[in-house]
This record gives sequence, C-alpha cells and structure tokens, in this order.
Amino acid sequence: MLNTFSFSINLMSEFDFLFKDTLKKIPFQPNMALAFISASLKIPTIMDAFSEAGISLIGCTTAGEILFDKEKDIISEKGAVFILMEISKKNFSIGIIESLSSDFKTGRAVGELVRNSFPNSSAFIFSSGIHRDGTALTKGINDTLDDKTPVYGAMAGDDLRFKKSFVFTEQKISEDGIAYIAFNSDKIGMKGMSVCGWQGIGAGFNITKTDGNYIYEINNKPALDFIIEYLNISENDLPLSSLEYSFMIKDETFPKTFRIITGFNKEKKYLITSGGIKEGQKVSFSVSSGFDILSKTREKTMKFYENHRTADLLFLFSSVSRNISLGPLVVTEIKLAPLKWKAPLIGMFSYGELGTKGENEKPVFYNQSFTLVTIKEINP
Amino acid sequence: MQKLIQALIDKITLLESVESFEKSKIELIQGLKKLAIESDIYDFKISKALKDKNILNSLLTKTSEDLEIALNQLKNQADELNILINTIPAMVYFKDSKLRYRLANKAFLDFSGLTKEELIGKSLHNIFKDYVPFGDYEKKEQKVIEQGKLYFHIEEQLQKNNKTIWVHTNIAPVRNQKGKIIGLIGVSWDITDQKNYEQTLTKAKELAEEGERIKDQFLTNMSHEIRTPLNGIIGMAEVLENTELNENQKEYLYILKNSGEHLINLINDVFEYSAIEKGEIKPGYDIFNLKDLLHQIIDLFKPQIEKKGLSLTYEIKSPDYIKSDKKLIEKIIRNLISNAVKFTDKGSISLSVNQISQKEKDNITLHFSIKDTGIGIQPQHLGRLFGSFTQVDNSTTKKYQGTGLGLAISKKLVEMLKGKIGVESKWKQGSEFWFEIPAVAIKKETPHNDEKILLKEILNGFRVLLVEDNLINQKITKMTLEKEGCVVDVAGNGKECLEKYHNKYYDLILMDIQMPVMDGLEATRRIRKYEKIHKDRRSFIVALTANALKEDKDRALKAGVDGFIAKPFKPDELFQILYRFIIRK
Repeated sequence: MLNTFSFSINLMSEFDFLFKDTLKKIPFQPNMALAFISASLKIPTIMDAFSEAGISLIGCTTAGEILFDKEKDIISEKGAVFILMEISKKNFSIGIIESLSSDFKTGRAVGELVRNSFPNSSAFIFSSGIHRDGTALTKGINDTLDDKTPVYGAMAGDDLRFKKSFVFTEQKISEDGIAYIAFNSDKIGMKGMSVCGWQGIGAGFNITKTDGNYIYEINNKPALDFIIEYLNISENDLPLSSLEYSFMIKDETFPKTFRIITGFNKEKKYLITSGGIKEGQKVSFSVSSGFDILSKTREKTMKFYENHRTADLLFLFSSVSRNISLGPLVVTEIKLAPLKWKAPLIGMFSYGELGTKGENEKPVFYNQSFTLVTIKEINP
Repeated sequence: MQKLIQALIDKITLLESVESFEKSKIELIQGLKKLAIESDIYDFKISKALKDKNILNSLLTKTSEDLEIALNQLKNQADELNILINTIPAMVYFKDSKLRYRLANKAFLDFSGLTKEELIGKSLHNIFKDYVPFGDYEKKEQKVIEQGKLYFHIEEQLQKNNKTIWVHTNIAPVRNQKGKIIGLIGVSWDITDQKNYEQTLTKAKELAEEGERIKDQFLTNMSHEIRTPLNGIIGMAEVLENTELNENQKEYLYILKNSGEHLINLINDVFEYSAIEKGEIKPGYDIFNLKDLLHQIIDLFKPQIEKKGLSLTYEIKSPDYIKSDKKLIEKIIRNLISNAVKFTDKGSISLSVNQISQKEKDNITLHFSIKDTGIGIQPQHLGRLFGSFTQVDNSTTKKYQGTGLGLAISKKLVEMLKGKIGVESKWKQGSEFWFEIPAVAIKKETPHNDEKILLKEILNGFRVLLVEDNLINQKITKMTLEKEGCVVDVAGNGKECLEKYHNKYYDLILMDIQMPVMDGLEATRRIRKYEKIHKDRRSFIVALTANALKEDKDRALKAGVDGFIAKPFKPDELFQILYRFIIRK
C-alpha cells in the first residue's frame, strides 16, 4: 500500500509552516507529490519548497480544489491541495513539454513520452493553455498509445478568469505546455471512470463555419451574436454561462460530447471552445439534468466500486460546470467515493477532462464530466 | 425542512428543563447548522431553477421564432411547389411505399375526375374501378419500390368518358435523404393524339408498302408480258435475216428488228435504273480481259456504225487483265458508245483507254474516253446531262428517241465503282464523254482467244434441256443453240422437264420460270431435292426468264438455280453466261 499524506491551504501564508510541519510529523519519507493550486497563489514559491525538500512535484492550476480524507471535506476556491507520496523513483517519470505547432502534434509528443517511460505505462496528463483544442490533443495522444495504456487528466483552470492557466513540476512552470506523470503500471495500478449527466435542450443548430475549436458561424450567424441572442445574456456573462449551458454535439455517438466556451473575440465575433467542433455538425445547448445527475454519479460510482474495490488513493477531475450547477450539493456527489474506498481523494475542478468511455478504451476528451481515478500499489 | 424546524422548536421547549439544558443546547446548535445547510441548498436550488427557467424561456422564445420563420419558409416553398406541380402540363402523382396516392397535381385530378379527398390514401384499384391493366401497372410500381428500378415509356390504353385514350407514363423511385425508397413519382401524358397520328402514319406506310408491292408485281408481270413477245419478234427477225430476202424485205426486216431492240433497250433501262435506285445492284469484282471486252463491244456496234457511214477508231493502253466489275464497265461503255452513234450523223467515233495513275503496285486508275463528231451539246444543257429522264431538250427526244436514262445510269454505275464521269462538248462539233475508275491490274498469261475456242469445243455436242412454254421462244433458243453445235431437248413445263431429267443426263438446263402445270422454281427445287437424296451430280440450271427483278432472282436462287439469263437474249450474251457458268465452274 502506498504511503500518502494530504494537506491543503487557503492562503499562501499558510504554506511554509504547514509544509514543513507536515514533513516533520508524517511517518514516511515522501519523494513525490501532486498539487492542484489556484492560479492566484505563488506557485514558484511552492515549487522551490518541494525542490529544496527533494520531492518531485507535478500539478496544475484549477477552477476549484478538492480534498476529501478521514479528517477533512475540502472544496476550496483560490486555495491549494497536496498529496505527498512515497513511491520508488523507478516507477514514475515526470516532465513538461511545451506546445508544438498543433495540439495534435503536442498530443502525439506527450503520448510518445508516456509510451517510452515504461514497458507498460499509465499516466496523468495536465494541460495548460485556455484555448487549447482538447479534442485534437486527445487524438494526438491516442495516435501513439494502445488501448491498454490508461491515461487520465485535466485541462488546467484559472479560477474562472479564462486568462491563463499553468502546469508545473518542482523545476518548471508553463502557461502553454503539457505536464505528465507516467507510472510503471506493473507496479502502480490505475483504473478510472467518467460520468456526465448533462442533456441537450431545444432545437439543433448548424455549425456553419469553424476551424478546429474556433467557431465562427452558427446557423450562418456570427457565433458570438448567436449565443448572446439565444441565451439572452451579455458578453460579460461569457464564458461563465457556457459552463452551465454548454454546447452538445448532436450526433449518434455515446456518450454525448459537450463543449464549453473558453473564450471569444468581440470584434470578429467568434467563439473558442474547449474542443473542436466540425463544420456541418449540429449542436444544441445543454443543461445539467437537474439534480438527477447526482443519482447518475452515484450509480456509476457504485458500479465502478463493485469492479475495483481497493484503492490507495483517489483522484477526481470534475468539470467546473458541475461545481456551478450543483452548488452545495457537489459535496454529496464527491463524498461517496472516499467513503466507499476508504481512501483519500484529491482533485480539482477543471476546464476539460481526459476520461474514458469504459475500461480498456482509449481516452476521450470530455467537458462536464466527473472523472474518478483509483491508484493502487501492486506487487510492492 | 419543516420537520427540521419542528424538531428545533421541540428542542427550544426542552431548554426550560434544567436537567437537559446542556444536551439540548448542543443538539439545538447542530440542528441550526443543519438548517443553515439545508437552507443554502434550498436557496441554491431556487436560484438555479430560476436561472435555468430564464435560459429555457429565452431558448424557447428564440426557437419558436425560428420555428415560425422556418414554417413560413416551408409554407412558401410548399406553395411554390404546388404552383409548379400544378403548372406542369402532365399528370403528376406521388405514391407511398404501399402504393397509396399521397399527392397528385391538378392535371391528374382533372383527368381522373376525382377530388383530392377521394384520391389521397387510396390505391389504384380502389379508385379506378374500370381500369383494366392495373395489376401489371402495380407490379411495375412494386418493382420501383422494391428494386429502385425506373420505368420509362409505359404506354397503355384507358377508358375515359367511353372513349379509348392513350397514356404514356414514366415512374421513378423517391428516396429520402438517407437514400431509402419512400415512394414513387409518376408522370403521365395523354398521348392519344400522337397515338392516332402514329396509327395513321402506320396505315399510310402499310398502304404505301402495299402499293409498292403491287407496283413491283405489276412491273414483273409487265416485264414478262412485254419481253416474251419481243423475244419472239427479235428472234424471228434474226431467223429471217438468214433467209433469202429482197432489198425491200431486208429494209423492212431491219426496221422491225431495230424497233424491237429499241423497245427492249427502253425496258432494260427503266428496270436497270429502278434496280439501281433500290440498291439492288451491287458491284462485284471479277478478273477479266479488258481488251477482249472492248473488242466485243466494238464488234457489237460495228454494223450500226458502218450503216451510218461513220468511222470508228480505238486505242487501248491498259493491262490486258484487270479486276473490276466487268458487267458494269460493259454497260457504261455500251451506253456511251450507243449515245455517240445515236447523235453522230457524219464523221467518226473514237474509243480510248489509258492507265493514268498507279497508286500502289497493282492499283491503277483507268481513263475511258468516247469521242464523237456529232451534234454536240449546248453549254447551258451540260449541267443536267447526267440527271434522270433528261435529254438536252424535247426536240432531241423526239428526233433521237430514248428514255433519257442512259447517262444517269452510267453516272450511277461509275459512282458504284468509286469513279467519276464527265463530258466536254462543243455545239455542232462533237462531244467527249469520259469516265475514270479504279481497278487492279492482274498479270495473266492465258491467251484470251483460247476461251472462245474452248467454249466452241465444249458446246459441240453439249446436251441442253430447254424448259420453255412459249413455242416461239422454244424455236428461237433451240435454233440458236443448235447453230453452236448443242444437242437440245425441249420441255414445255416443269413436269415435262422432270420427266426428261430423270431419263437423260444434261450438261445444262435452261429453265423458264413462269410456266403452266409446274413452274421453273418448283421444277428446280425437285431436281435439287432429288440430287440430294440420291447424291447425284449437281446439274447446272440457268434461269431463262423475262422476270429480271431482284425479288424474282432471290426466289430463284433460293430454289437452287445457278444463274440467270434475261429474256430476250442475244446469242452472244447466252454464250457469255455459258462461259461463266460452264467453263469457270
């Protein structure tokens, strides 16, 4: 079983004492940590602290931080959560690469790094860059990896400012890069599930002009005008409104694909979405299916638990839309997992999730999902 | 939440009891915390629901507007489509996959006499009860639905207002956006007027063909009826020529024979022209001695030329043997020389043949020229000289007689040989008619005179069965053949022919076609059948007939004859035929 210890801060001033105090009191020597931190905190200071302590670090900025363990149920805004781990250096590999000329190529490059890390790898991948095309990135990753390589992750957030997000290690921070941690999956087992629960509302609209994740026209109207007119909102409400009422691509794929707006251009009236939408595709708006999504999450989590009953640690990448749409009930949605597995859960609210349709399937780029991952040491 | 508040009120009541104060206070605080959470959730649910409601309202309003616009557009499109469909000058209908009418245009409703309500949702046999061929029609429609097959040009007769009308229909499958066949469209036209016109035309064509057939039959009969007595007249005149006659008798005989020959030539020209026009004459290619042919032609005209006191010169510079159509060349030259003799009263006629080019090794072009010092042709008449039924003017026709077909026939024959024909002429000074034809030069060393000698030798004692019902023709032909040394038996009809055939062996059977008792065709068929059954030697049977039409020849060939000689014939012609059929075979 992995030795882990989690802690959180709400203010930067709390970090130094808490970090040092934690290192003193925990009964193992941590050599690796994951952190999900608000972009408003001084990340370089945190990186230096981990570096000085000789602890490998990987993490990204968030739209909200999550930490549930025996003692705490923390959902914070503009705070940070950490998990310290003792894990053989032979069994993990951390790195950051900067973006290449396209998100697909960047995805391929990350995929190759993961593939080459171990004979059998699994990985967490975190992406900075508010306007990245998550679909293209995921396609690039899938292009290099087989179905047996579990890959999960998230698009970094920036406290709903939609300006700059970051990924980092103890050595490096990047606002336009991809951070990854690859595990030797012969030693560290990784399993995951994704659930969504949003549903389409109203008529379908035609995407009439697009280029990757840049949407220029919907129903032959400028995309920005269209969304303002149809949702009866102002420019100031964007992209926030889109988190709750995202686009749903109306095709026959299952699970349904959703796209949130991560940016727009006032002059040219185009929208930027978290993942690509093809020209000619039909979309509708979507909404969380009331509080029924809680039951769906519960149902799917239970099923997942029945199949994988043990875990040393849980990770959660939950769409920021869920936090907004469920409000105080989001705690209820999250709490079930740490209770069932009796393991600490650490995670974040994200701008997009690398999740899965099912076991032994290649990763899928989601918005609006609840992506839960279990980690377990095997053959210690 | 009400239950929670009631529980708190109960706790506050318990605070009055000192014993339970501390415990109740703690529980009260916990309850209030819980209430605060529940209240938060409740507030959130309300604000979220309001937010969602506003968004949904907005979406609903916008999409309703969109829907209204779309419906209006759809209605406009439907109206336009309706106008368009009703304007189409044809009956248009749409049926679903169960062959029920779903749409029909005004023309269709007008034609059927039905209202939309009476038609829509019904199938063909439900509404057109008098429509007889619906089974077959619906089978075709079923195929359109099942196989996506297109049907064009379905024509059928229908009854409308007690009248038979014709309808022409095209049926095509209708597919949805996914390509699935959801029904069919039919477009029909009332083509009764066209059909009636077509039937009138067919009747007219049949009448015309019948007329043509009657005309041909008439020509056949006329040909036979005229040629047979003419054969007798000319034949007897030739017989008379060999008897002792005084000068007056000789002159009368000359006129008699000349008139007969003229008449024969007229008939031959008319029939020949008709045959050319109908495409019944096709050039055949055989190897022959051109010089011999030209000498034979010159010999033929010599008596006439000498009688008119004209001179004839010739110059032949060509290969001895060529490959071309001997008969056609002979006919052209004879026509042109005949014209030259006819239109020349003094002076001379000259014939020349030159080889003017040699494209490949043996492919040559021959230039024939027939020059005379006759009346010549005025320039204004030169242009229509080779037209049908044309002589330079009426006075010419009266003076020189003729059908005016000779040059037209010559021109067509030259063209058949892929050559060209022309004329140069000076009024009152003379004319030069020329033609050029391609030919193949053949190197052959057999001396041509041998053929005649050989033929003469063969004919000496040659056993001929002459089958002819006309006594005069019997006599003339028998005499002609016997003069050449043939041994001739005569049969008066097909039946007699068969009797003689079974009793004696013949080298040649000259078979008339039209005869009483048994005609020549039947006799020929029986001889061929006999030969086949008994594996007997094949007899040479040459049809001796006045019927020179192609249909007659085809019938005779089918019956089994080997060749034809048209009556009346000249001895030379008969021997040429005999040469062709006997020596060559």
